[in-house]
Amino acid sequence: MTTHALEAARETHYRRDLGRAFGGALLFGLPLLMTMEMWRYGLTLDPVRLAVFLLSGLPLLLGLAVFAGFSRSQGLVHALVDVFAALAVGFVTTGFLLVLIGVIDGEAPLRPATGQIVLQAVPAAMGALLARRQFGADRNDAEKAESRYSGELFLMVAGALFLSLNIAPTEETRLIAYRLAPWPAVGLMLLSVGLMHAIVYLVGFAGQEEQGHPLTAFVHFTLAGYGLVLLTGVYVLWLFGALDGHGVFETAKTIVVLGFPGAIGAAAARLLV
Amino acid sequence: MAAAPKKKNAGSAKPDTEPGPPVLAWIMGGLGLALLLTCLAVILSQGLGETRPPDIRPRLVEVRAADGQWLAEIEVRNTGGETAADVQIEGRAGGETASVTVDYVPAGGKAAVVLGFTQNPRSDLHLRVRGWTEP
Repeated sequence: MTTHALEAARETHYRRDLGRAFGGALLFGLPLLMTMEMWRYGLTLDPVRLAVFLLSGLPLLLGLAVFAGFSRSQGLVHALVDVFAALAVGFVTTGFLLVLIGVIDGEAPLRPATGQIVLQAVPAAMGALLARRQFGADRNDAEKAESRYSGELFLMVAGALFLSLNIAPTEETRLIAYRLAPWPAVGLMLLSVGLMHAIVYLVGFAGQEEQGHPLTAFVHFTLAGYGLVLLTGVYVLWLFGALDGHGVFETAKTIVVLGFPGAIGAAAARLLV
Repeated sequence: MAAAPKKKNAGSAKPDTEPGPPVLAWIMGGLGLALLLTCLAVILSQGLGETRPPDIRPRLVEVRAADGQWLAEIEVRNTGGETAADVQIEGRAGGETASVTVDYVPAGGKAAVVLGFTQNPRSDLHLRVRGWTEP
């Protein structure tokens, strides 16, 4: 009898968590859902890159499920179930909305429509997993994981990826890079690193106190983080084909331009997540 | 004995033996996995197969009179395996030329455009594709 009541309570809790997950998917997915470049990339993206994007999203989602997770339970099985449930939420939310706002109509061919949904579903699934952090209550269980150094770096990558994904598809990224002169580009890099360090310190990463010397923290967190931000930028730009046919100089500038929002996203990941 | 307090905050409590995920979680997880695999299959069925370049065919649907001119409604179909962007459609009729650019025509999809003429273009409309970019 007690087990039954327990079961029922857990199901009820899960339904509420699931509701939050839809909210998170909307919150994180809407900026991309209403960006027309994303509709276009869904049609035109190289299928192999699209598949890589979908598959590489899985470890990222798993990391988020371990660190945040939208349901209350812990353990790898729970995290895996959460990942696929978040994907389901992402697919359903974006599929429904893309049809509702008329991006996908009844006569849309299957493969391009699938591409459009996949491109949106992964960021939405990120939002679904972060939902409990956005709308929910307790932060305790993830604190442990976050204080581990690799956990910190992972969160920075997740933050950078999220903001980069929102900005990279727009034409402006490339336009800014084309117009950017060498010295302002260097300035933008310094600003990225500086702001990252400032935000990391203002917000205060867990375990920061043990770092002791500010220089050590700068190297361990800010520089390491900025490096990951740049690599994340390369991945996102590769995904959207934004580096294809570019020379070394333009490529570097584009990466630096995308690295700016990436750095802010990475540093603020602790705020968002 | 310990059952009452446990029951009160069952969801957030951490019992000694952690129970498995709730039934709904398994259902949602299964749905997610199924959708993931379906999408992968659809995407890769094109990615690994031989890709055919865009094949753009404009076709006159209807001509209607509107406000002193004739509007020819054109359906642009892409029967190829890749999406074409910035597709330029040109129509010539009775010495007149009208053209329009379509943002993109998805692979296996279609787009509708309208060309304007001062004379009724129905009898001698020649449609052609001037070009497109491969995104």
